Amino acid sequence: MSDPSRVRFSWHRSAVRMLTTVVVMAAGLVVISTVVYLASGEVNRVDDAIFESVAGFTTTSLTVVDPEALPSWLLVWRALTQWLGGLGALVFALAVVPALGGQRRLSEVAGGRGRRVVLARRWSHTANRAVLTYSGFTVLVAAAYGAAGMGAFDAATFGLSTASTGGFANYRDSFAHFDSAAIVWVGAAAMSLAGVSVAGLVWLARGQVQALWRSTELKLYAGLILTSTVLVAAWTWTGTGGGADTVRESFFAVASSISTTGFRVNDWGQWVAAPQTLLLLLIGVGSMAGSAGGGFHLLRVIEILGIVRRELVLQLHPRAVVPVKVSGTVASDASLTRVHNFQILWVLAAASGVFGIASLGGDLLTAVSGSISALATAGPALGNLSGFADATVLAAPARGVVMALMFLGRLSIYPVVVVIGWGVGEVQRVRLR
Amino acid sequence: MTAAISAARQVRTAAKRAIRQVLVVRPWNVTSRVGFVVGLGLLFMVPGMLVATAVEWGSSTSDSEVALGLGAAATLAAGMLLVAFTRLDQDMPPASVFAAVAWTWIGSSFFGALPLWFSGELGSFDNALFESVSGYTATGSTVLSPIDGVGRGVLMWRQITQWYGGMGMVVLAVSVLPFLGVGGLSLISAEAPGPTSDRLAPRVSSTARRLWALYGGITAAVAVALMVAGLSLYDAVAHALTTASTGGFSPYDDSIGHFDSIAVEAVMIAAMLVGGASFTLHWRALSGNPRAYGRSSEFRTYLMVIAAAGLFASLLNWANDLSDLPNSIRNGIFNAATLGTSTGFGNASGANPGGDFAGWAPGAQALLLPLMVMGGMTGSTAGGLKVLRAQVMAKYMRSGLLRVKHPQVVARVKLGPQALSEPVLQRVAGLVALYALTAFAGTMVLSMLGHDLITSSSGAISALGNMGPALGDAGPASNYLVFTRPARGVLMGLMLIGRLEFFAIFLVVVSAYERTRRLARVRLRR
Repeated sequence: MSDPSRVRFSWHRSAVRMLTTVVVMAAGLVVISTVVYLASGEVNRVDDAIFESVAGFTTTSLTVVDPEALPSWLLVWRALTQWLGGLGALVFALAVVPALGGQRRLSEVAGGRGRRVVLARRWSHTANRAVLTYSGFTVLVAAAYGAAGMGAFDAATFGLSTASTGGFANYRDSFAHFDSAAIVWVGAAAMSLAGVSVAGLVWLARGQVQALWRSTELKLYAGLILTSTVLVAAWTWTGTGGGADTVRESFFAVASSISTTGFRVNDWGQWVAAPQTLLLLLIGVGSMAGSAGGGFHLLRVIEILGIVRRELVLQLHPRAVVPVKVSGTVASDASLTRVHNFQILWVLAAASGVFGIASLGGDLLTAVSGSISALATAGPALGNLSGFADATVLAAPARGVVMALMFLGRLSIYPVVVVIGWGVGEVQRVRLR
Repeated sequence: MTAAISAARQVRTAAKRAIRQVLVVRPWNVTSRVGFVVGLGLLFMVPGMLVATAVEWGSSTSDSEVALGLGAAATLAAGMLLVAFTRLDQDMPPASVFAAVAWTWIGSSFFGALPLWFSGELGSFDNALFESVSGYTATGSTVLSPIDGVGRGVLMWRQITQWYGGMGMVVLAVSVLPFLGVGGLSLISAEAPGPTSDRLAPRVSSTARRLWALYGGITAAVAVALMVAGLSLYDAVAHALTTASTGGFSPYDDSIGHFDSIAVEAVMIAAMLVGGASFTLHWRALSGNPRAYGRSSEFRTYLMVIAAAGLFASLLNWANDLSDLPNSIRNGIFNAATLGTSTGFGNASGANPGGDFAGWAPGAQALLLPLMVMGGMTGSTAGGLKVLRAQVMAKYMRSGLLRVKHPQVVARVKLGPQALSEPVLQRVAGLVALYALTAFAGTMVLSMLGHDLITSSSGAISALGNMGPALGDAGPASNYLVFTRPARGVLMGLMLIGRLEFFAIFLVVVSAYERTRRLARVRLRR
């Protein structure tokens, strides 16, 4: 007789299987990349190779190698891991999550209401369009870099790591190496766009201003970039000399933070406290849902703001029915539950990260900022990790914690938790037999 | 000349119109009912002020009794005026409830600052107000420096403010209003920390009376225990007042470190844990059901979290060679208890420098942060997010994960025997989100005023959780003078918001907005 569980169609099996596939694929890519680094002979320690691979596929800009000492083919590989990581994140958000029963995601990821915003009827088509858009955007960014005066090789690699919100640079001092205003402007603009959801990019390309304007998330994203740039520029005006330089570098830092890319053009560890806190908050908040960027995602922030508003109104009018709206559509109870759960998971992961980094070597400031930054897959942080510092400032065990945080953050935490929980359950079951 | 007169007339009519508008619309909800509750709260403060005056009069080292007496007289006069010219109805709409609580706290803080200001020990009025707000909210952050050498009566008034604030002036006011119906219960729950306020008696006013009697009894017991541990009457009473209320003011610069006595610290740990535990539980246990403690999963979690954090922190400090094992454990447990109950005493002194957690291993400090966020149990005098909410959120998350795995599963979140419904869960989660957003906003504003990330984030969390000491520059060995004056104003607001669990303060603002908008709409219609 055949196994009855194989005969019956069961949702939970397919959900766990799908998530396991995602986690195993991510781990497999890391293994391949680790082998590449080790085989190249440029990276000698296994843990360094793993760290570099994880940082690559999670689109985090933390590195443990000296990029200026690497051969150019390895630099391409490094940028390519980030590009693939960004692509994986997009496919995961647009195809895997909706297929798991979160159908609402499809329209929400796209950012608005009604049929119009669905990229395609079937999720496989959606994924195809997303890949196309992402590739096209990468080519455009690379071309813009070239036009701004980068060499062809740099333009290609930086294009890959910008479009994916990765942040690996070919130089130790990242964008400061070029010393060119045009390149910094292009970089800041490209990073801002990289944090926009794929649907937003499609609308942008098609010139559908109405659709853009309808998305609360996009408006919030643009508003945040604008106000933060103004604030950061105002706060750093006297410290950095003022003028166009300050505005440009503030814009760059803001775009790099909110899109969780992590390119650097200056050392914001030297600034006063206010812009540091703001940039760290932006890193935590992160980009739009359905983009390659990481962080908490603005969509969830909007939902949480709606929940908070509802809570206040309910205290005054206990019997009121107060819907939580995103881009004009009412968010379902199920989606609000998911946001709450994600919020707790995020805080738990960040707090464990702070504890882990702090107890394995790292002061409290480095631990707090580094944990948030790694979980958001950004990279730049405060304390020892500020400025152009790379991850080698952390002790090897603390780097292990950072690695785990990046991995969790990129896969939006719960697949990893579910797979681990499922694995533990299976092991227990086997033992019981 | 005529132009000047007509301009003055115009100003007068405009002012009249504005006053009439405020009186008619009352954007801040200052209605007659609200004034009555505020007045009662003020009247209840007068005995405390008189006690402080008597202590000052009896002490030989200083004589600010006139200042303290003046403060008492002003409070008495204001309270009597308010009670005489206002009226309380039986029915209290939610907006009035929240306004009554918020204004009582703001009014009490203001009048509580008067004795401190008149005595001249704190200098400017804003410092006195900070001390008073920190007192009433049972926070325990101080701007009084140095504390040693200040008159005993002034110090005693600081302690008494915390004692009042621990249980709450509104609960006190409700205890003498036997005719209050449902409105009375919502008054208590709008003020008392925690999502539930259980009735201890069928009548609201007797519930309030029982709460205060229990509170007074616990305070007296702590004072006796401290005397047994070797403190003088003054020291024992002063510290009992701020321990039962989980406040954390001490009349000494070194706080508990002043005594450098393990016996005193042990008594304090026990007393803080009692203050941070639910008063409903205490009531049940004292009325012949001591098993109530063991049966409450919140109580078990509360003790376990504090013990685990304290022991882990001790081990980390010991492993980092910061002190020997017994001392590490002593300091670890004491500080975990003082932060886990949102009290905020310090036990560091010259003889025991390891009590200052600003010098601990970074990992051990990182363990204290969750304690600072979580705070004590619901229905206790402690601040913070409350253990119950943390528990509910953890269970909520587990059910959510289960649902990812098995989309068809019915995953109930159970607390004890009863399952919590989805709307209830979402409301708990909404409050947690509100807490997080306020903490982020506070951090941002404090760092805008020039404080580094660790100081401003821990300062905001500490003020919001009514803790007292923070990390960074504002550690237990420091005081809140490290914050700039505007930053201290922000911290005052955070303390009040945290003590009243957001709604009272926020809703006064929200309802003001609603009312002015309604007025604008009415005008448009005309």
